[in-house]
Amino acid sequence: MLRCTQVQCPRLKLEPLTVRFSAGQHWALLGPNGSGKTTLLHTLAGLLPCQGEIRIGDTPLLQLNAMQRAREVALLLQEHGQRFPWRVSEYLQVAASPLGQPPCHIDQARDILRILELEDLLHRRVDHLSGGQWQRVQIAAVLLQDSPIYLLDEPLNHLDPRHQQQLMQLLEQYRLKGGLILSSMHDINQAFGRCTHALLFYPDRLLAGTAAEVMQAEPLSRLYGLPLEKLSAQGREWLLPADLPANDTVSGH
Amino acid sequence: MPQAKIRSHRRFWAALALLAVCSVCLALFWGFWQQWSWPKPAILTQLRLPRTLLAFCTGSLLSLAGVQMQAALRNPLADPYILGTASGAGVFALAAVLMSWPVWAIQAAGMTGAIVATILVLWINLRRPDPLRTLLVGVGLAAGFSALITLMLSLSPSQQLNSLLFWLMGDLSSASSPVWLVPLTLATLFLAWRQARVLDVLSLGLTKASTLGLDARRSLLVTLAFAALLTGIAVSLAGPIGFVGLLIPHILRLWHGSLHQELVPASALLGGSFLLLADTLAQHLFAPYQLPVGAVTALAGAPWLIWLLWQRREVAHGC
Repeated sequence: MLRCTQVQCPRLKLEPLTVRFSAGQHWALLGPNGSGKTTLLHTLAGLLPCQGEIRIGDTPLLQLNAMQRAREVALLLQEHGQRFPWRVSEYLQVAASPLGQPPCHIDQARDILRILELEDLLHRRVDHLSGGQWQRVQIAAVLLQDSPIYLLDEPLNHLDPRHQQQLMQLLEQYRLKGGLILSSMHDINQAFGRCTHALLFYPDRLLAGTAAEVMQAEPLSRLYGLPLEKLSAQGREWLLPADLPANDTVSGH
Repeated sequence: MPQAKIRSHRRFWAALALLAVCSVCLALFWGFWQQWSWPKPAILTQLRLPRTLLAFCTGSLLSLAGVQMQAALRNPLADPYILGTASGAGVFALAAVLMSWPVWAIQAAGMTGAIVATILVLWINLRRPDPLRTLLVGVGLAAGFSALITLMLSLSPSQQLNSLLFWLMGDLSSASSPVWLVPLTLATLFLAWRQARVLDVLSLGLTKASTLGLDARRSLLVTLAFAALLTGIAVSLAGPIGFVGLLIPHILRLWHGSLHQELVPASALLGGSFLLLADTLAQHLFAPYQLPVGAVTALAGAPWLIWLLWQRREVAHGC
């Protein structure tokens, strides 16, 4: 569905990436802050130039115009800036419809709005929402684009544990319906429990594989420079951080 | 569409239409109640009607420019006055007035000044477009142009000084209503309305707009250039009139929402009505003295701007 051949982002000093992302997979992009997760997602969405080749299906990404790309790929951005004073219903109507497609109507979106608990917020202004509410509105807009590929840059940001769980379950439904999802995230246990594959961003290289292969305590400990231990509880395995070495903590604490 | 929403739409457009009709009637027939007689036809057709058309069209153009700047820069505080576009147009038009150029050349100079100011703001911001940075660059530019205007005024002959100062505060009294103004306003309204979806997407921010299939940088440039052109026309006709482009789109966003398919025509209608009412008050409130219309719009606009900033501060603390 989405194939990268020797893809190298000019801004990053990573080795070229060759990987095939297929329909029905959910990839977790894991790595420390500033390791290049956002840059890769923006490159895959066609927003940044790169060396190598990215293909969507059989078509090179560069051969698609902006509107064709928007129909194939939906990208969730990390929005930190000033919010324009849209009402939530207006924002969804505009942001959920790529150009060239009819505007999204709220009535078609009732299921997603219910799951993300947005129905009561539809008349609020987005600049009056909390960080978590605004994040859910943006996620709803991206999912309503109804694209085959979803690139989600830190979708769990600002969400409380219950909304994190609801979102991961919702993404699982999209994956089972044949969607391809790539999510950058920092919650390794959500990634471990819900994602089928993982891409690890080491300082000089990338490691791709199934979650079972890649998401082990040792490679993840190396990735974050943080000792991790694997524990079993409630019928599944969890990765928990061990204490940092003494010289990494604030003296006196 | 639910019945309640249809009713709300009808009420909104009916209120705007009523306000427009009332402002036009007030401008044309002011003083009717003093002597209970209609103005003479010559006064109506040769004085009041041209000025009414001029005020209404100028207000519409400024308001349309404000809508487009706010959408392009994703900032509800953007307007031709704050971003320096109006001051740029003012400098060039004033220079043309001082050099005793003909009216058409003054108008062309105003347009050129607006476009030059916009190009300067864009050129400084193009590498890393950022709404706050753009706003600050605009404020700085406006201050620079104001200094130039002061310099030109201090060097101008004293017999011209009073009329120049009046013009700089925004003045419709000395302007005539060119025949092309009404069709031009309608044409710009139509063009802006055709771009409503682009304005919607552009106001999501450049990166988000790109993910939705828009050539965002090109659209930003085209939109700002178009807004600068409208500002240039308005300034060359009536001087730099502040706050119309800021106030009107903002009131409408709070009142009815931010979708540009309705915001664009509503802004043209309310902007025209607002400037016409302000001009009518400026003419008659202290008759026989006339106030510059820019002073009236600023008197209404400045408290609004302060309230707006205060409200945003409250929101920022509330989140």
